Order: sequence, then C-alpha cells, then structure tokens
Amino acid sequence: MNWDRYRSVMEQYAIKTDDMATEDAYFMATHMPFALLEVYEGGQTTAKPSYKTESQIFDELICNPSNLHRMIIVRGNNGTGKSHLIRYMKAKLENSPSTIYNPKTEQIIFLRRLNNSVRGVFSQLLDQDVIRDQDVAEKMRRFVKSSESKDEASFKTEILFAYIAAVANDKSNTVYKAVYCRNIAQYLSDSRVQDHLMREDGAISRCYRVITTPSDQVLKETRIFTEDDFGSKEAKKVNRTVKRDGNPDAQDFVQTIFNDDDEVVKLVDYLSRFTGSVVQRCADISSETTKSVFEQLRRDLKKQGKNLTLFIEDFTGFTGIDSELITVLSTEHGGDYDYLCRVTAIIGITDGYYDQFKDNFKDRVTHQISVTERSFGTSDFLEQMSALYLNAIFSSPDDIHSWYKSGADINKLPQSGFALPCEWESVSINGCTLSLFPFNKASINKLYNLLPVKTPRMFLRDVIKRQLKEYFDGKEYGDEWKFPYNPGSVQMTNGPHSSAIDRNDNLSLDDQQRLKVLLAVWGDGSASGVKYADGSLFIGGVNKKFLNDIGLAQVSTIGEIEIREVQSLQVGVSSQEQELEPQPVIDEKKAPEPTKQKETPEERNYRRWMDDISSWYSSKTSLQYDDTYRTWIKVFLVGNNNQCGAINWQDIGIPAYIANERLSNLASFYIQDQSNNGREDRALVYVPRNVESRDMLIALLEHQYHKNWDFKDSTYYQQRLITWLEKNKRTICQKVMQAENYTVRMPIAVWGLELQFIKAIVYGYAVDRTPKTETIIRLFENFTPKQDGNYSTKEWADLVSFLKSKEAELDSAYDLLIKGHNSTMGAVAGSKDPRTFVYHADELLQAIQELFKAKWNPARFLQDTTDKNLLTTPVALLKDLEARLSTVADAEQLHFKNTKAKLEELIGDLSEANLLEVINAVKSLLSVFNQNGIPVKSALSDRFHNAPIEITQNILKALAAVDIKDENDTMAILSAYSNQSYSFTPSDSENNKTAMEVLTRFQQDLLEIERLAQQEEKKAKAAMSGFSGDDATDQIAEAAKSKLESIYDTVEAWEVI
Amino acid sequence: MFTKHPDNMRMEPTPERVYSICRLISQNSISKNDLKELVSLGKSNTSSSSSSIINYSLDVAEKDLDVIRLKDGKYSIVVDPVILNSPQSFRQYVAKKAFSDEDSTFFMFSRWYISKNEEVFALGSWEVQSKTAEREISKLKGIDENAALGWRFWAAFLGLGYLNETTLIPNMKTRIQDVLASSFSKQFNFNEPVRAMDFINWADSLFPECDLKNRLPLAFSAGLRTLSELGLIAFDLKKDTDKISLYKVEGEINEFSHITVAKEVQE
Repeated sequence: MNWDRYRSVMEQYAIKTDDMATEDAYFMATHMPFALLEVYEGGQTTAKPSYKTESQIFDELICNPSNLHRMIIVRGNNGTGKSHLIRYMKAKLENSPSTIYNPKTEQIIFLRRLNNSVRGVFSQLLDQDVIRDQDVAEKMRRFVKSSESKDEASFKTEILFAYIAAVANDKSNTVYKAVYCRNIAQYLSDSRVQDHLMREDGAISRCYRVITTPSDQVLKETRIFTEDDFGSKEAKKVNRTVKRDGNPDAQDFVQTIFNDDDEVVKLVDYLSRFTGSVVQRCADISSETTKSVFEQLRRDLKKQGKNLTLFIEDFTGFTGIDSELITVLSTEHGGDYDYLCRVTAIIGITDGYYDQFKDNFKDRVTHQISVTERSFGTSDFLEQMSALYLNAIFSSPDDIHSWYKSGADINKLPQSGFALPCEWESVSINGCTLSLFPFNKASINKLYNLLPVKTPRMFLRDVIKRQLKEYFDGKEYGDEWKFPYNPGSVQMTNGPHSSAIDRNDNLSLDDQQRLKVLLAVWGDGSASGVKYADGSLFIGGVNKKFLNDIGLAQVSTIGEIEIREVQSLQVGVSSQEQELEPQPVIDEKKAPEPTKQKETPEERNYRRWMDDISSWYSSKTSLQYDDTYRTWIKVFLVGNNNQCGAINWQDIGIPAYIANERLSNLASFYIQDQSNNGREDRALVYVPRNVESRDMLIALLEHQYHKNWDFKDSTYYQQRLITWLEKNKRTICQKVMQAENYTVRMPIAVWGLELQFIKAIVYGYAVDRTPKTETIIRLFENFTPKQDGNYSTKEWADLVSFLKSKEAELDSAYDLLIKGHNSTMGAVAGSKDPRTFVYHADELLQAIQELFKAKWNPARFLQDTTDKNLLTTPVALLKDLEARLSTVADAEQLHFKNTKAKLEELIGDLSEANLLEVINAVKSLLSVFNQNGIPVKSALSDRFHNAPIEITQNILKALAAVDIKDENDTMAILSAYSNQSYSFTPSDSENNKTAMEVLTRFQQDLLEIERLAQQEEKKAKAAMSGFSGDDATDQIAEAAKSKLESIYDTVEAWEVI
Repeated sequence: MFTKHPDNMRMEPTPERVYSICRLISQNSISKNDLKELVSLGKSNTSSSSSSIINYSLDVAEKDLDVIRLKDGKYSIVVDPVILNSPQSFRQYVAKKAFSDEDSTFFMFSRWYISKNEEVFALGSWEVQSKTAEREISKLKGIDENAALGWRFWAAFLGLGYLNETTLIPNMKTRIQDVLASSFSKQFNFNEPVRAMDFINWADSLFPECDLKNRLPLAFSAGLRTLSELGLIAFDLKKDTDKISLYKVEGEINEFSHITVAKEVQE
C-alpha cells in the first residue's frame, strides 16, 4: 500500500495547512457546494436574509449581463469557507461560456487570501498589472522590496513612531484635547511602554505583521490595538512604573487609564483610528494615491471597453487603504462617472472586521452573503465533503490532474480504487460512489460536533487530516496504533461495556482507549456482537474486519452474539444516491432553526462530572469536582442522618460512633490527583486512579443523577460499586479502627474507664476499684474539678491544672467511652446524640476486670501510637499522665512522711495508747481553759468534743489508709490519698476529708493547743510573781495563784507530752 | 425474628445488640435484672425504651437463635462459645437459624425480596416494598413497613445485600462466602473446577431463600460475580458442556460451565 503517498497527497495537495493554497485540480476535486447561504440586500445586517445556494448566487449576483454595479461582501467567521466560496465563484466564472464570461469585455482580478498583508496585496496588484500609473507602481515595488529587506526591529520602531507622531499632531480635539494628546504621545514614548507594545503579541507587532507578513502565510490579524495592550496584568505593571518615575506628561496620562477599563477602551479606539494613516505612511502611499490606483484602473478598462470583476478573498490586507478602496469601488458607473467601468466586487471579510467598519461600508454595499454553520453544517454536506476529500487523497495525483485538465467535470471524477478491508459505508454523488473509509457517517457527524469551532476548515484539519495521519502511521508502522485519535472525552454510551473494555487485560491501555473511541464514535456505543448470515461479525456496529485492519484483532464482543439474517443499516451499505448540489429549503425567508433541547442543571452536572471522571481516568487530568465525589463516597459508606451506609459498621464490630466520627470529615477521603487540598497519608478511604475507582465513581454518579437505582444498567453499576466496596472494605475498616481485625482492636474501653478512674481520683471523687456494675456506672459519670478543691501538695494541684488544660481531649475520650460503647440502631449518625442506652456491657465488663487485675495501673495498657486521633487520644492522655501520677504519688507519700514525723515529734510513737493519752490531755487542757474563761476557737474545741477513743481511732484509721505498703502501686496510693471519707468524729462538721487532711488537721490542732498553753503559762508565771500588800486583795490573789499553779501544772504536763 | 409468623420483625433488637448481650451472658450467668442494670448502666429503671430493647434482644437470643436460656433465674449460654468469638462466627450461626424455618416471616420476606431481582428498585420506599410483598405473597398478609425496616438490618447482616438509602442492593457475596467457607469442602475440593450444574445442585439446599432451579437470581449472581472479582472463585466457560446462566447484566460474565472455589474463601 502507498501509505506514504496517501499522506503526502493529503498534506501537499488535498488538505494543506491553509486550504487556499490548494492547487486548482484538488480544489475542484474536493469542492463542496454551499447550501443555505444567507443573502442580504444592502449593507445592513438587521434585515431578514433570504437563503440561496451557491449556484443561485452565481447566477443572480456574479453573472452580471445587465452590467449592474455590485459590491458584494462575503462574510462569516474564520474558517467558514468565505475564501473557498470566492475562489470557486472566480473559477466558475472563468470556466463559464462566453455568453457569461468574455475575457475581451470582462477583466477579472483575483486577490488571494494567501499573501494578504499590505505588502502581499501590493505584490498581487503589481503581478496582475492593476497599477497603471508607473510612478505609483514604482513606489509599491520599492515598498515591497524594502519591507522584505528591512530589519524587523527598526520597522517596528518606525511603525510605533508613526503612531506617536499621529497622536502628537492630533489637534482635532475630537476624542482627546490636544494637550492630552501630547501626554499620550509622551506615554507611548516611554521605553517601557514601547517594549510592551512591541512584544510578540503587542499592537506594534500586529501592525508589523499586517504590513509585512510573508507571501506564503495567511494573516489572521483583525485588530491592531486591543485592551490587553493597556489594561492587562502585564500592562498594569508597566503603567505602575510609568506612574512612579515616568515623564511628568506621561505620568499625567497614565493616571487616566490606571484601573479604568473604560478609559483603556477609549484609548484603544482612539489609536486604532490612526492605523490607516500609519500604514500609508510606512508604505509611503498616500490616501489619494490609493484612490487613484483603482480609479485609473477603472478609467483604463472603460477605455478598453471592459468591465471589472474583482475577487478579494480576504480584505484584511487592505488595512490602511480599505476606506479608499471601498470609496473607489463603490462609485457607481454612469452619469457623472461615465468615464469609469462597471465593477462587480466580491470581497471576503470576517464578521468582526465588518462590524468594525460597518459604518464605512453599509451605504455602499449592495449585497452581503453570510456563510454560517447552516451553509455547511448539515450531515449531507459533511459526509459528501468528506467523501470528496478522501477520494482525492486515495486517488492517484495523475488521475486528479488529468481530470482537471480535461474540464473537471464532477460527473467524471476519478475514483480512488482504494482496496477496502471490508464492505464500507459510502455516499453516492452525481453517480459516483465514493467510500467514506476509514470514516463512516456516524463518525463524521460525531467528530464534527465535537469540534470546539465548527467550520469546514477545522473539520478538515482536526478531523479528516488528524485521524487519517494516525491511520496512515498505524498502517505503515503497525506497532504503535493511535487511530482513532480521541478528540476529547468521548464516552461509549454503554457504560457497562466501556468498563468491561477497561478491565480487559488482553488489550493494552492505548488499545482499550482506541477501541472505546471507535465504538463510541464509529459504532453504536456498545461492544455488543451481531453475526450475519454471511458470517460477517459486527462489534458495536463496526465490522470486525475493520478492527482487524487497525490492529484490534484481539477484540471480541461483550455479551451474547445476536444472529441476524440480513445486514441493515450497518457500516458498509451505500446510502441513497444524492445530487452534489444540495437544495435550499423551500421557504427561503425562513431558515430552519436547529432544534437543541435545553440542558437541565442536572444534565449539565451529569455531563460535567462524567467528563471530569473520564478525563481523570483516561487522560490523567486532575479531578475537578472531587469534593462532590468524596461526599458521595462518604454517604455511600457511612450513610446520612437517616439512612444506613453500605458498610453495616455496628454489625461487624465497629461502633457507630467511631465510624461516624472517623469518617465525618471529607479529609478522611482522598482521591488520587484530586484538585482540592488533602493528605493522602491521612485519608482513611483512599481512591487510587484505576478502573475500579473510575467505575465506582461513575456508579455513584449514575445513582446520583437518577436519584435511585431504577434505571437501565443499574445492576451493572451496582456490581461495580459493590465490587469496589468489597475490594476495599477490609482496608477501610482497618483504618477506621486502626486494627487488623476484630479480635486485636485497641482497648478503648480499658483506656476510657482508666481515664475516668484517674479523673475521679484526681478530682476527689470516691470510686470503688472492684469490677462491679456500680463501678462502671460510677465511671460513666462526667467528673469535673470541685470548686473548693484544696490539694494537699503542689504536685496534686498541678495535676488538676494539667487535666483542666486537657479538657478537650478528656471530653473526646469521655465521649468515646460513653457513645462508643452504646449500640446504635440504623444510621451511624444517630450515635452522636443517642436517645437510647443499650451499652456493649460485655466489653465494659471485660475491660473493668482487666483494669482490676492490673490494679488500675495505666502503664499496663499503654501502646505506641504514631497517629493522634479519636481512638488514640485516650492512650495519648494516659501516656502524658503516667509520669505525672507517679510524681503526685511520691509527693503525697513524702507529705505523709513529714506529717507523720511531726506528729511523732509531738506525741512520740503513734500508738493507740499515746494518742489516747494526748487526746485526754488536750481535752483536760481545753476543759481548764474553758473553766477559766480562756478563749479557744470553737472549731478546735469541737474537734475534740467526742470521746478520746473515738478520736484516736479516727486518727489511726487515717494513718492506716495512707500507709501503703507497695510504694509502686501508684493508683492505690492516689486512691488512698484521694479518698474523702475520713474525719475526726462522725459528728465532725468538717467530715468527708482525705486521710491526709485529717492527719494534717490533727497536727495543726496540737500545735495550736501547744501555742495556747505556752501563752497561758507565761501569763500564769507573771501573775504568780508579785502581790499588792493589801490583805483582802492578797487573799484573792492567793486563791488565783493556786488556780494558776493548777493551770501551770496542767500546761507543764502538756509540754512534757 | 426468625421463627415466628406473623412476626412484626421489630427493628430494636439489632444484630449488634443481640450479639453484645449474648457475649455478656457468655462471660457469666446473670439474672435479667442484673443484665438490664449492666447493659443500660443503671438506666433501665428510668428508660423504658432501654428496658424494652433489652427484652426484645433477649427474646431473639433465646427464642429465635437458641443461644441463651433462662435457668434458675439466670441467663446462660447454651451453645459452643466459639460462635460468639466474632461477629463473623455469630453471623454464620445466625444464618443457619434464620434460613431454616421456611414459614417464618423473615424467611418468606427474604425469599420474596431476592426473587424480585431488579424490580425492587422501582418500588422505592420500604413501605411500598412491604405492601407489594403483602399483595404478592398471600402468607405475608399484614406485613408492614416497620417489619421491612427491621428485616433490612438482619438481611444486611446475614449478607443478602448492602443497604443504600431505601434499598438493599441485592448481592449475596457475604452469605455465599459464609456457606462456601463452612460447607464447600464437605462436598468438593477447593481449587478444583466443579461443574456448574453440580455446584448449583449442591447450593440449592444450602440457600433455601433463593430459587436456584431456574435462572439464578440477581442477588445470588451478583454475589458470585463479586467473589469472582475478589479472586475467591473463578468461572470457566467450556464448550459443549452444560452451562448455568447468571442473572443477565450487561458487560459482566453471564454464564459459566465450571466454577473453582479457592481455599482463601475461608479467610
């Protein structure tokens, strides 16, 4: 096969980069007549158009036997085929019989779109001998020559200075006052502004291209100055520098446009006014000269008895002299202008350009022909055009050239004779059957509709040429097939089959993609098989032989193969014969409106999400709407406020509260290459980019879109969804519980109860340490620090402060204990605010038994955890507390030892006998004090009110409580010191004290009594040392002395103690 | 729940609660009052709902599942404690009970649900589902929405499907895996192909809730497909041998002539 030749013909002849460069033979062999061209009378665009075919326009407007003045504008967007139409009209006119076109009486001038810069137009005018005035011709030659040789930078500078000069000399005061114009000129003269305007996309570079674009290129500029030149981010930077340190006049002006879009637009419009004069100045052609060129031509032709038909494919090249040209061409012959010949001007112009200069044109234009999508966008047009191009590409160039030379009769168009791998779809044009291979009607229409800009030029370049290149490459090299190329995110309509292809390990990733594109675009969107009586097999509507032809021989059908007798509407059957010339619609005044159903917001979202997911999987793009998808996944796995998720968390041993809390935040879900920030390593549900994830996301999308599972292929999507779930469930559950399986879960009940136990002790709440129901119930209370908490040691007070500082973590741990061990019916969200309490008592009972066995020592249950989260918060707290608890226990022990030592200092050995003796003495002393009116605080005397033995036993009880034999049993020590069930006497108003409080109080009371005794001893001594000499007085004193001596004895006895 | 008919299949005694209470009793015999005190942590006296839920759960454990028995005023377990080692072992035990009484409301509703295949998706709410079942199965007369709501928890637990909004997505992966893990090796060898017909004949008695004699139902087919995708079973399609048709799903395996069950199915 001549794959190289086909490619070469395609690139060199049939579909050139610019199709206007196509040589005449191929131009004629591929020309598709336009239908439904909009025709307007006059220059206004508001009137209703009539609709005509290309032939009708030729007959009615181009053929001009009555010699009517005509200025016809052919307008349309870029690529719609204006130039093609004009070129065809010109060719048709030239090939018309002499009754229509007689070279002796009609001069045709044809200015091509290629070479459409000012220089190119001058060259074409010179080449076609349009310039009769030799001086003018010489000027133009000089310009063409000099612009070719001139250095680009200096030419651009010349252009810029021409603008500056034009602005500086503007005294019209029409847009800006003259003084303002000087400021603008200064602004444009700033070197930074100049650099900006002369950048590659800047106004001056555009103007330079308009003037000098080489002859083998097509100029596409339509505007010289744009808003970007003064209002873009980059321009604003430049303006900021001018504002800061520019010329004062420039600074004045830049203030005007700084951050004012309206002023920028005003400046752009203002400078655009000078483009004509700048171009003329640079080309050294005056306005009058331009006019005279065409006026002279018309005079000369008139003298020769000729009329002028002027075809201008693209008017862009006349920038600068456009107004003059229009003026000259629009002057109607006859009357005062009898010396001018008749003109039929057919001028191609973009819609944008026309709108820009509409005011100049509108009164002079006789007709407008608008080429719109209706002119070429029909299926028939596209299919026939494709067939013509494909035929030209597969035909021998010699055959095409011979055909052209022999009159280019479409009815005698050579046929390629390309050997097809199988019967193939074709169209019949004027009796010629032309194959669409390797396209078919479906692919042609679908690929056209996928184009972002739907024009014949784009269709030929981005569909026919692009796909054929891949086909030829595949056929030639065979090892790296890329055909068909995926023009976008094309999807097979049969999602299940599409997914099955993705899971087909026999196909490479590239082949999977190719096959899916082929079935989506060429086929019926499925991979269903149909076998016909003749043995031919079709997969998804595409002949299996074609799949073999493009390196997809290993592809097989999905599902059962349907057996059919006769092929119908399958690829490979010729369609009804068609005439090449399409007919316009009957109602010429009213064109058919394309019936487009409005997309609903749901449909729009569905399409967006589907494209996003498909592109993420196939094209490795980032996922744009990942937060939406992560929400879907979350709801699917966990449910919502009312509904259960697909994982029955509670039933597989994961408390609802844990599942709900751990997966409540979207950050717990991470999809590979998601757009939103997130941390893959923190995610509990990780969704990698693979076919299973893609299928899962699409299943959720379908469910979301249909709002239930009652839709076609829902069973398939459920299968994909559940399969994804089952493949990932174990990992998800392990991450949620941070445990390999149910039996090795973290001891969260133990941790929770231990923390509650510690809190209770530290805050001074009594807790039974034995494993009883009451203990669990007690530990489920929310312990808070007591308001009047007095702590025996600084270390204990510090520990309370520490716990207060950890309030949030402790609350979290408390919730985990309380809610994490409650059962939840239905949606796990209900666990957050439970209304019923049916606890996992089995776990709690087991936990408390373990704690009891471990003497509630937290060290026994500590684990290393790297992650800090809901589950590990309790153990992290326990770790923090472990050392602190020991410190407090040690401090309390020391405090006890000191207190005990002080008591021993006062009392001696703390035996029952000693205590009883001291307490008896205290009571006696207090009695003496009382009898003698010596004041003693009532609280102090109250504490010694009860029987001495009772008080003694209470002291002994307190001593025993804190005398812990095992100094390593921290929790026993703290429990003992925390226990607030001690007092001096049952009637003690200050009962419910800790043992240490009782002992400390006792010690302090003894010291107070000692102080009182010493004080009274001093008083007694002083009193006993002197008498007055008065008998009566001395008698009384003697009595007092006796009493004092008694007190003294008692106090002395006390001191002995 | 599994033995009565008619049965209102209360929602409250969920698998989670019944399992937890059984495990508690397995630790020590316990009186009803002590159990209530412990399970409600002292709230059974103040919360009638807690008390009722515990009563219902005890009923299921005792009367439906025969796991516990009240003797001398105390509950104790009457089964091998191994069945309470994990929710999985408990599930396998419960399945045998739940699908053994073909006259129970639970069984009949399960069988009806499975037989509906994808038609259930059009029914929407549980209310409509229960009403449809009542209309279509005369023996299910009187079944209401609450019964269906209670059924769904145990149906999901036993592996008949996956809860999703108001639907139980029919897929018996878990249920089939449980049966394969416990019974397959009694009849066949792991890792060896078994003829599809033999497999289905064998399975027929082990899955009384499914009609395997005709086209395999969606839930059963979907379960087999999922096990296949997990690599726990493998389908084979050999020419000129009897084939079994799975419930047809576009883009999926729809028939097989042989099936190989991997030993890993027991894990």
